[in-house]
Amino acid sequence: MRIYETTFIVNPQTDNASIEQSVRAVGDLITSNGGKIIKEDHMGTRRLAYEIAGLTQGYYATFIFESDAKVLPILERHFKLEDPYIRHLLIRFDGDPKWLEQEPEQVTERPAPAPMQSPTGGRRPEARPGEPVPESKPETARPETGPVAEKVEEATSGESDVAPKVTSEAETETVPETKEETSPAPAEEKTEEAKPEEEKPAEEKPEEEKKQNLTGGEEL
Amino acid sequence: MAFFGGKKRKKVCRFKENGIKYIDYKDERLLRRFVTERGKIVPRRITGTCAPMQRKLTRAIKRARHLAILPFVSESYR
Repeated sequence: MRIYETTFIVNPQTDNASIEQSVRAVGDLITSNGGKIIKEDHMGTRRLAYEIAGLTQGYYATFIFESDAKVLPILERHFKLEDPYIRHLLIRFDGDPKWLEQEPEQVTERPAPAPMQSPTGGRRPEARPGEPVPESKPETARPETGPVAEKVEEATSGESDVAPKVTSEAETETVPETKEETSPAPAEEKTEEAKPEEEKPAEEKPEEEKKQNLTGGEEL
Repeated sequence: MAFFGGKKRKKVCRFKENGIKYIDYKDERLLRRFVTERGKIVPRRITGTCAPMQRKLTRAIKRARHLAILPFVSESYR
């Protein structure tokens, strides 16, 4: 038994129910093959960074689960054969073990993607199952999540009382700090800012290279 | 701290400093900071990230790209 994580994108251009069904199908596949779902998270509909199959948005869902390796080919097959899945990632879980203990909150705290209009627009308002819209409408979102998510909640709620606080603190601490440092400065500019501070020996060549890279890259 | 006369300024690994050991490929906000406008991964000689974290970061960024969380090449440059 190992812990795995799968994230997949469902075509959002179908109705709510079938999205939900597509997501649940994955969960069912896991459990019916002897796996145990540790965490389920729906990022919901968000913009794709690039078009996939002509789509500009996708419905993201993540499962973290524990199972034998035999489940993986079954899942892979499912993702490949069934149409609504436009992209999937199935990996051995290599994140922080702490993420497993928490309520879905950890991932949920990410800003919920703004409801976007599209050919599909209009279905948004009708509470999306398991949608990460924590503060606004948790009651509507939760109960409909289906058997899988409820299990997850039950399973995790006991231990999670302490854990989420700790990690969320850690996150809130770290995030702003790093922001100041690295930050909004677009990286191309950053390279130039950084140059004068660079060590001398390192400065000579890399700088030239950088310039070449930058200009060369720009023209391409 | 930054002396332009050629003195070094120690760069610190952002992850080490904040005690981050794992990088989530779904965390777009974090990953965005380590990618150029164009979508390239920023080398660690510029960000100061330590080698182990840079490896994890790279992997996370590549996963994020696969899932269309991050662009391979950003829209504006295509």
